[in-house]
Amino acid sequence: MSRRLNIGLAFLVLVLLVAFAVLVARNAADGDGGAAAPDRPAGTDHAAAVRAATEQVRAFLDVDHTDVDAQLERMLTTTTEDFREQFADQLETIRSETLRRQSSADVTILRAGLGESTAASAVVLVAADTEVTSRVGGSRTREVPWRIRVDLVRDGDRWLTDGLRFVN
Amino acid sequence: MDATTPADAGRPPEEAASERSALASPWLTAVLVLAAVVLTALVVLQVEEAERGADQTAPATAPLAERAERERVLSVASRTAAAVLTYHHDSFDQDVARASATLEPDFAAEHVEAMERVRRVTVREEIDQEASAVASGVVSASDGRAEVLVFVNQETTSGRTGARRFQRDRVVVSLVGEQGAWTVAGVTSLG
Repeated sequence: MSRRLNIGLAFLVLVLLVAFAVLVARNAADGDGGAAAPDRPAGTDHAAAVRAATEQVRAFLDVDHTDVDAQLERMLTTTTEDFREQFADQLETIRSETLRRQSSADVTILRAGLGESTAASAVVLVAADTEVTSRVGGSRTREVPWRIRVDLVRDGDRWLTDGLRFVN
Repeated sequence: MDATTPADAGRPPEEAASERSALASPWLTAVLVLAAVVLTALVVLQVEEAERGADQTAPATAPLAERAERERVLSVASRTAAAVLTYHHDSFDQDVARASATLEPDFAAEHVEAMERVRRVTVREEIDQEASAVASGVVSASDGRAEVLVFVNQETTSGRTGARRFQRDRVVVSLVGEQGAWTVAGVTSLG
């Protein structure tokens, strides 16, 4: 019985080893592809613009009252100076409301699509849902649907957010 | 009683017994169970990493490179999404027929069937629904298929009750076709 059990276990370990090796190889290949994107020639790499917009929206919506300052700081690292100036008041509102309500959110990006675009600029639409939890007034969770337009400009190898607004 | 296996034939009995004993060792069982648990955890972590990667890269599937073609796809998707979601109680059949005429045949049949289910309430409540596409973007396009994200505003009114409802929707429009000739094969609401 033990002998059969050990042979079965050895087979299981072998299968798991193969699965692990395949997954590691596949993830490594995917990671290489993602890292290579920003190095593509400016103007042709609109897939990178869509990725940048998606990450910007995720960073923007992913509020957490325990980490709000660091989160907003991270979000601003991929924005233009114009955006930072225009957005300063709104950021302060987001910060104070997040702290006051003790909010945190889980973000799900549903889709992102490329609209108007040139070599130097791109418009990306993002559909996302957030599940927001606020502790003020009793802990409660609500689903919020979002329609967001992100305006990006090319800056060397990067796409920077130059505008972010809700589509009404 | 420990039976001799065909593989033991012709080998010294002590050697075969020792090998069987090693294979049946509880220590080996423990080591193999531990290895299976650790490997299972590692596989789960790798699967989660793969899913996270897919989540991040899925929306970035290469959109149509050629600007004119992208604009054609966006135009067809926006126009059709609005047409499919627009209907009036006093021209219901014409509205459904007009929208269906532009759709891929299977989806047209689905659309007619779906609209048939809302016909009675539309006529009874004198419902009019106006939809307009306010923004659109190409999510992916390859091999004669494209997917477009369209933000649609819908205003629904009831002539009987005077009720009015405004809804901001997000729909995914699936298209099939090739250079210059795209047809809508599906419209799915994301809510």
